[in-house]
Amino acid sequence: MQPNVLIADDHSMIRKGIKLILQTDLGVADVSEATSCVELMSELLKKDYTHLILDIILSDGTSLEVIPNIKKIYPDLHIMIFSMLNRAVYGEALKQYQIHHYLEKTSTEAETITFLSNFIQNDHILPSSTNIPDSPANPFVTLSARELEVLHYLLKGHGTKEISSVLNLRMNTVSTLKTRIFEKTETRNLKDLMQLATLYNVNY
Amino acid sequence: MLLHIQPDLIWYKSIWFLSIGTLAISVYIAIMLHRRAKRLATDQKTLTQLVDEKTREIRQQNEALEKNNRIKTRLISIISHDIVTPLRFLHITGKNMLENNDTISDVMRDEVLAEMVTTARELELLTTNILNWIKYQNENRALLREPFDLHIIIGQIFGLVNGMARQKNIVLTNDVPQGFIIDQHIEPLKIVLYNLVINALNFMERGHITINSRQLRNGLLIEVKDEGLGMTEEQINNILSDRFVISSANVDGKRGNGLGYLIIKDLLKLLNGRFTIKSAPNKGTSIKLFFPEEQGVSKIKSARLADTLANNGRHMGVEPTTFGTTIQRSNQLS
Repeated sequence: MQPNVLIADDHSMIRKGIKLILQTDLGVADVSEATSCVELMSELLKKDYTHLILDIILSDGTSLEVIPNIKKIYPDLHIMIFSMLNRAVYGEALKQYQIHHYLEKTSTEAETITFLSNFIQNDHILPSSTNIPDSPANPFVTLSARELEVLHYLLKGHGTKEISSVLNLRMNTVSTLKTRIFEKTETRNLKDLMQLATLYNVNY
Repeated sequence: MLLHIQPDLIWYKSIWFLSIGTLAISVYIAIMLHRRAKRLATDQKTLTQLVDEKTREIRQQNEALEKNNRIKTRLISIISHDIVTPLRFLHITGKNMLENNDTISDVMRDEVLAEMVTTARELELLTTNILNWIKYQNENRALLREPFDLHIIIGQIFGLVNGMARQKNIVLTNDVPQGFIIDQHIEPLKIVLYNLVINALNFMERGHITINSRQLRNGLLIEVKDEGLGMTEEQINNILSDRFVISSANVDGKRGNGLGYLIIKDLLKLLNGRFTIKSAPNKGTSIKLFFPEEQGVSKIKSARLADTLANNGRHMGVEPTTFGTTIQRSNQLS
């Protein structure tokens, strides 16, 4: 079966770059693009895609919010995360959704092509060269997917009330998640958390 | 009580003299003590005031530092996400095109080339803005005002963005009268207006961008008006809030990291100006800049004028013929 690929990324230059690599290096002709979670969902409805190359931060939110739904509706869709965010942190959290392909945008060109080619050919084993050992020193590694979702909006400066309405969660739940984020990262306030997040490449 | 006056005593040994003397000394001491206490109290009050003043100063400096820190953290994200990553892909894609020139279809080549052009331009704009922000963080005190013709300055700014406007079929109109001389810091004002025009262009498909100016009784008014996508109330509040000015959310191809407005706000402080935003989704945006004539002397007057300005805007907003359900907010920069 011919692969039918969808790229969801908020940077048009990156979408075009990947599209070109897919066409020139891997001979994949059917490549579509989406910039936001909303566009991504409607695009998935339109066509039968085989592969999804997904950034974590999209223009209208994080893909963490839509991944559970995508997994439920399209269980056969192969998903690969392509993000500039720390792989040790987000890759770990995404394993609970059976997503094992995670490539950081800082990878070299050769690594990117190899990784993409493996992904498109549905190779399950990841090339070990890109398999960076999870550093235990990273305080964000222990965060769950839910906590990472909240973290994203927290770092954007949203309050508990705003976060609860965006993520459709109860205020109490958001507060608990917030407390846990601060506990796990051993930070006391937002300023410390932001600086720590920037340091570990978790802040967007 | 009976007092026996003894005639053989010397006058100064008389009980009367002694009592009066004692009394006088006590009163004198009392007065001195009172004065001392009063002086001490005044001293303390002055001291307390001084301490309060210093505390306030330190707190303000702290707040400014914290804000700067926050912005710096955001800038790191912007540089890594909005500059480094696109640059990487600009490079990778360019190389890819060079190597596979003969296998790429014409359609694909055009598509990618157009993207590269846009990206390079965006990167240049973003970097210039970051540069400007850093520059005016440091050297904002020694700047001099100078008289210049606003009509010519607007002409220069339009000249810079003409190509971009023509591409999108956007008409730029300089409604500032010729020979409209104002006395201001020329560079910062140019950056503010340039950023406003760029914003208008980025969030617009076709239509007009107009800049006009008026000399009001108490100051100068410059308006930048567009017929673009407009803004929601939340977006306007985000711009006006001092908390988090930079959000990296961007519409495809139209960057919205808020850095432009951050610089506009900082520079307006420097220019002793304020601004109001009047906008609604799909109704265009009107930004009014106001510069009071005499700073310091008529501060109250100008504050009142800014209020009037805001109120006027609100009035215009309700009129169904102008902007429909327009949102109006004013921003008072101190």
